[in-house]
Amino acid sequence: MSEDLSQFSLLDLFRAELQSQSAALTDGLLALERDPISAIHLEACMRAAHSLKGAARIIDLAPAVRVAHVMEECLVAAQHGRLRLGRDHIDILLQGVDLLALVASGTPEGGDAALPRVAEFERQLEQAVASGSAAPADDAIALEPAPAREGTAATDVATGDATPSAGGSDRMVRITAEGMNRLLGLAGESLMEARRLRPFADALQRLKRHHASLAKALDDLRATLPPQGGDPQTSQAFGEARDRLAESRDFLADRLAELDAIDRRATDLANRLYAETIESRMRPFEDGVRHYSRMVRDLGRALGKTVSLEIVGGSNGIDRDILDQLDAPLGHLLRNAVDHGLEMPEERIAAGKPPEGVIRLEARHNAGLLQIIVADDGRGIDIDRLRRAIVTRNLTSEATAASLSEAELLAFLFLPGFSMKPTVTDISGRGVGLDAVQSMAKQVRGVASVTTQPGTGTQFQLQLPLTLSVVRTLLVEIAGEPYAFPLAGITRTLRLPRDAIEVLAGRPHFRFGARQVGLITAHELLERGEPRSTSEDLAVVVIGEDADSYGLIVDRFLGERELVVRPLDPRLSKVKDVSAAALMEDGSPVLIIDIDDLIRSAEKLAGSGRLRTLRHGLAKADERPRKRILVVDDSLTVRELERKLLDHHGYEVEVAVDGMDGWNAVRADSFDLVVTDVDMPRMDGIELVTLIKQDGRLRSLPVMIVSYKDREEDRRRGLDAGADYYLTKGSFHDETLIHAVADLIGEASE
Amino acid sequence: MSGSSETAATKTSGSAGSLLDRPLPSGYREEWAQHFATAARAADAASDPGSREETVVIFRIGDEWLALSTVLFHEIAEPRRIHSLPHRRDELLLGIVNVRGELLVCVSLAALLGIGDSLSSERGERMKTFERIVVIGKEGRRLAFPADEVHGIHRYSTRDLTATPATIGKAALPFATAIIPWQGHSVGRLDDQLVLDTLDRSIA
Repeated sequence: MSEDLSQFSLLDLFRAELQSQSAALTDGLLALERDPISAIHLEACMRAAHSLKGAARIIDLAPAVRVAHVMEECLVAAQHGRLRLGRDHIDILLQGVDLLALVASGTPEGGDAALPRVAEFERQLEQAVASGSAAPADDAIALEPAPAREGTAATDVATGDATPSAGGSDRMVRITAEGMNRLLGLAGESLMEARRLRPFADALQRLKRHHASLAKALDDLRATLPPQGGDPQTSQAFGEARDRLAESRDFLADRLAELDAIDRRATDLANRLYAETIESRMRPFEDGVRHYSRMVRDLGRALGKTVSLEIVGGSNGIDRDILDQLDAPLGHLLRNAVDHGLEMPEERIAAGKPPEGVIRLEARHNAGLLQIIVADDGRGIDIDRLRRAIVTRNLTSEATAASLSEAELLAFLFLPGFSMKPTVTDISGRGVGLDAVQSMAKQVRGVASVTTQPGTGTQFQLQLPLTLSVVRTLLVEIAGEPYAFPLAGITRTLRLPRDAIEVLAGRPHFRFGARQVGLITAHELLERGEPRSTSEDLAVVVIGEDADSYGLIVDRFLGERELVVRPLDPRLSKVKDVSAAALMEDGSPVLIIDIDDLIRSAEKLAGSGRLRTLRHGLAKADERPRKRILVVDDSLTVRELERKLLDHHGYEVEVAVDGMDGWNAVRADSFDLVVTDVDMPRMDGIELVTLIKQDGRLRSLPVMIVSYKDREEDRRRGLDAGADYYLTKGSFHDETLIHAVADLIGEASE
Repeated sequence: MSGSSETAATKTSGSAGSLLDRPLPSGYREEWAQHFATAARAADAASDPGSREETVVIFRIGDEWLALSTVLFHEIAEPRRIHSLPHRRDELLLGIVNVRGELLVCVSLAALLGIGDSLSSERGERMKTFERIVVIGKEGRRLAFPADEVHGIHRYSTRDLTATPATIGKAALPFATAIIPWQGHSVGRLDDQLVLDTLDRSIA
């Protein structure tokens, strides 16, 4: 290690180069493993090794020079046909990549301390080259049957990595999310300021017109004087005035032209700055996942399987925050796929498949969502074995297990601690993977799911929202304020003539395609004033699908806008019907609508909203206020059953369709009791209970959990979260539910 | 400088003299007078145990003059558009506002402190010209609030403080810990931490 400070910065440079070159090397080596004589990949790897050797020599890093040198020698031998690269060679060469990183790491094991390892590496590689040239390694031959499959795989990879190895792997810098947001804010602000120049320049045009009219007035005045002659003094003064005027007109014209140029440049710069700032939040999917190719291959080798990773949609831009969060879950899914998903090569050949297993890692943007797919072409999940595993682990009774559908059975895979593997390996099978994947997806309000085909493979899907990046939206005005609907959530927008509105069962509807769609004012939904539109046509946004569609009346459409999503202050907790905020071009804030939330709000308003006000009125007439209960369940049947049961006993019942909806409801209205299910989308019952019990104002509100899960640990989990009572769903056929409710809050009215 | 050779020093001795003899720059005397005065005052304050110098920003909401610690203040900006939040009807939470590209929660200190805007609305439009959006906060947790007027930084010694009466003007000020006399006004010194905590809690 040198004490010279400049040496450190050189080492940094080398490390940066190593980072990009070793990515190219790894990609190339993995491709060579499948196609050992590919000239392109041999050339690319050789070049990478050669450049590293040169760079290492410049900074005088002798061990790195030696490693790169033998690697280069080996690759050159392969290039000249003196050596056919086998898997063993690739193994050693990949170790060489790791060794280079170690040498350059700057840790105590790095630098000259790594020399013994370097010597060992040289020996290994030289030996492998010597034996390889005599007889090609066995497993390289083993790979040769199935030429068709290999041919396509090789071309896939060739097109896939040509671009990234050329320019993809820029050096990354880390920046905090807050710093990024500030930067974005400032870039936006400077864009706004730059845009003010144009109106200012336009205003100056008026000055130009004033000059013109001044010149005309002067000419008119001149015309009143006798032509030729007159007082020479006057005409001289006139001449001077006109000259002065002409001078200042010229001057103004020049400055205006200059201002125009400044405006153009400033706006252009600010635009670029803004676009670049937004762009820098996005990374190509490939950048975040390329390193998995190596991991998958090494894992496969450790397990005696041949595996290749196919990255599809690698150039799709993904928000860097999401990409970061994806890292651990993707690692889990890929390890799972290699270990559980894929069969051993012999088994594959027996099943008529190519011996090499393929794992596809795909990213695509679909309907405003980011979809990440991890699919293998392995044996698929044995549903009967899964069913048995569930019963063996006492997660449910045999009878229940027999009646569960495939999708329901697969959902058990995401339970904490669940594993089908009888033995624990150090690769996977500890059963800690999938629930972590699930919780990451949940954290960003996404969904994880799995489908499987016996014999042909398993596919895990992550549906993640893109809410961290830029969204295309429709801007509308509601009660004098702008709101943005993400385009992905809008079914249609239309101008509805007033006479097209029909009233069905006391509520306004209109004909939309083959259906009747209910109309609701956005003002009523968001509790923002009254609609003021007096025009003939109503501006309507249709949201939702099929039976769940609603027409929202807004004040007016403001047009389509691309908005940079900015999170709301976390202290606000979830604002109902709003997912985030953004800034408009003029710098004023706009709220981005949470369409899922809004559809649920509309559902409730259309379903019981009107009745609620009516019932409030009745209760007043009774002068005996009834106890109010909030029922939270995602199953319509259970919800309605509970509602009827409680209503029958005189309680006033409100419903919410999931935990998030329930959380919104308890904060907006006052209740005497909350009855909630556990398993629900968006927010589960345990989370809801936890939130309620942590809230200063709601802490004393009793909560009862009603769930199918009747194991002791489920009960414990519910009560630990703060629930006051835990009931299993079987129980509301008898009077248990009513008794429990009466125990907690007493009779319906006292 | 010290490195200059002897010959150079002899050559420039004339100009060095004129440098020292040049007239004082404007404001020089005042600056130093101020400096010693401040030092003396600080020493004075130090000699009086339990008294120290503090700086606050004085601002007006409705008819009340109020003060919070200077360190709390991040920005004072022109008034701008505040976007309200759906379903939230409480008077305290006004909505969100953009200050320097940052989206901040905007609250009403008037609602928090129970200050009505009766008099200032009578005074009419003239008062609007002093309106500002003020950004305060600690450790990245920022908030904005509209103020009817912001005076600026004021330095005082804690011994000049007087205790709060039960009420100041018409409004009760539960968040005021003391009164700072300033230009004939009684300025309510608000409890920094209490105000921030209460606002934090009430916007959830």
